[in-house]
Amino acid sequence: MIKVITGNEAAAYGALLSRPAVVCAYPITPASRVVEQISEFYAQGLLKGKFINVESEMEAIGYVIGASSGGVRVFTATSSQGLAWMHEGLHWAAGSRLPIVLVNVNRPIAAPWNLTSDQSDSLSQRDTGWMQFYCESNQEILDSVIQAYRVSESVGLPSMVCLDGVYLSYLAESMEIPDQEKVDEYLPPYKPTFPAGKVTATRYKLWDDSAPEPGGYSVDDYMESRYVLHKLQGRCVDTVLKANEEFKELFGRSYLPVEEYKAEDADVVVVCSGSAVGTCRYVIDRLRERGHKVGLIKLKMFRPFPKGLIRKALARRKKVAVIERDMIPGQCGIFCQEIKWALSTEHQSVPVYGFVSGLGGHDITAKLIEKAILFTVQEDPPEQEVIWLGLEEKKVSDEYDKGTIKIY
Amino acid sequence: MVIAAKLLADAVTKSGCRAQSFAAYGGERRGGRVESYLRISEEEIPLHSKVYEPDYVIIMNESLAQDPAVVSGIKDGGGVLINSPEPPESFPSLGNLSIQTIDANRIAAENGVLLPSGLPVISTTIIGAVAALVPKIGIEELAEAERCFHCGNCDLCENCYIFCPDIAVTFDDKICSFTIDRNLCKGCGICIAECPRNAISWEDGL
Repeated sequence: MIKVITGNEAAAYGALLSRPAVVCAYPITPASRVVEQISEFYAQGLLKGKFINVESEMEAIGYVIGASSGGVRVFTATSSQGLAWMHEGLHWAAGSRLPIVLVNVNRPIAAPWNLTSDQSDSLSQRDTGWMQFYCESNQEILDSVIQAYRVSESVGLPSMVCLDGVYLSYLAESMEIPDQEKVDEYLPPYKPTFPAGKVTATRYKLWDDSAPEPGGYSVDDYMESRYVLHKLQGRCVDTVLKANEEFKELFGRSYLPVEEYKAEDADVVVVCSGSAVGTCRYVIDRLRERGHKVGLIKLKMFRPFPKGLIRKALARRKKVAVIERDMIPGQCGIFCQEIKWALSTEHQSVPVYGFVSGLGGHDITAKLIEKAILFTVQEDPPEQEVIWLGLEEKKVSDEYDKGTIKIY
Repeated sequence: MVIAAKLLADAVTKSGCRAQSFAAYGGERRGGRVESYLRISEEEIPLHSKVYEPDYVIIMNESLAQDPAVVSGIKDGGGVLINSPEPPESFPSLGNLSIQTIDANRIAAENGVLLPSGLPVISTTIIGAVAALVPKIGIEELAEAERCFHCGNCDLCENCYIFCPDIAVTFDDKICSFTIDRNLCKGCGICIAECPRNAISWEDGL
């Protein structure tokens, strides 16, 4: 069925089709519509099970951790300050290896107050042990929620499906809602591999073949439990690839952790993630028409960082541009830093140009992307780690301008 | 405006095209300036940014036509549709652009398309004119898309609850919906008139 729905509604439909037994979420701009739509599904009788109203995001994550520990499929959604408020629960969920799926609508973290679009919120949770997937379109949001359950329940780690505020959350576009029977075939009812109701500490034993006795890890085994968490990351990429392969067979749509677009013979590639990827595709098409050998690398999966795939995609390039909607104060963007790390371990000397753009909902326009790519093609690698793309002119006093590169 | 763009997106999708609509505004408030965007294509739409070079600009409040920024970036041969009782010639500041006007406020008022406050609903009124202007939008698909907003499903807007003069409409937590207490209901039918989704109907013989 083709429908015109917003990114938030697409996330809600993804949850509906995945048949969670418990949904618990606290509405927050710009993700409120996810929860509202799901509550409508319950009111219409389309979703069975429990929808639990709570007073905060801290409670929401607490409830889904509890329900997931009890052995059922759960769903929650939040954004920005709400995700930050969940922070300690996020560590708990990953440490307990609970296959929770959380939809995060990317919104800036205050101050200053801003309700639009920025990926700093989920990226600041990057070391909690959750898998993270960044979506390009509404179709991808819906499909990613379904795939995330498949992957999470297979590996035994929680997933965060991220979508940009405003540019996806409020944007309505034509997309296909898959049939329930097909989704049921792809995603069978959740069967926990541990006895339902057991406390979470036992999970490590049940998931880790090498643990000696039932009872799993305790206070003294924290380091060993971290070791297991570390080793598990290595399984994630393969699981995602396999889950995607089967998804493609059933639904005809594919979302690779690292996707190359017109990059086969490209000397210069741009790496991008989230809603701006589509705009990058548009720009690459136009630049190709004008004879530039440029391509796009879409990074869908950020955690665990698919460094092998990234190396493969970037190692042979002359130059790499990274355009992203987040930043590390005093350094470059977060994606850029990870990419440099992935390349450095192989002693590669591919120059990486780090562009920070679109913070606080600024539009990453086709024009800006084109300027960034042409800058990368034409200019020598700058000493500066970050190039500011799309700052508004004359809003910041000149005293800050020493040694910065700005592209308006 | 946001709904107008969404309805148009629904309509073109029903005729087999791809569509995309969204809006940009600051904090929600009355009288604020709202921009909403609509993209129509026969292929997938990769772009997820605002529209800077439109084929058509639809101006819902004629005072905005004085601001040159509103039509800046419009493509050559593009068209401007303004909600105004005045003829196109009364907008000389727009230069050589192809301008059309429609008095959506009057049409809405004459046809009783009004908000409870009495203000005319111009969003659903003007999209008829947009359908005439943009070749890819069919009037039949538009009617079908518009019907979705009167589908008979309650969306808990609370109009019935607010407008009932006899406090006969109450919210029932158990069924998560509104019910009518027949001991209090005088049968005035105001709730039926106020329901935007045709979710309430007469029942004879009670």
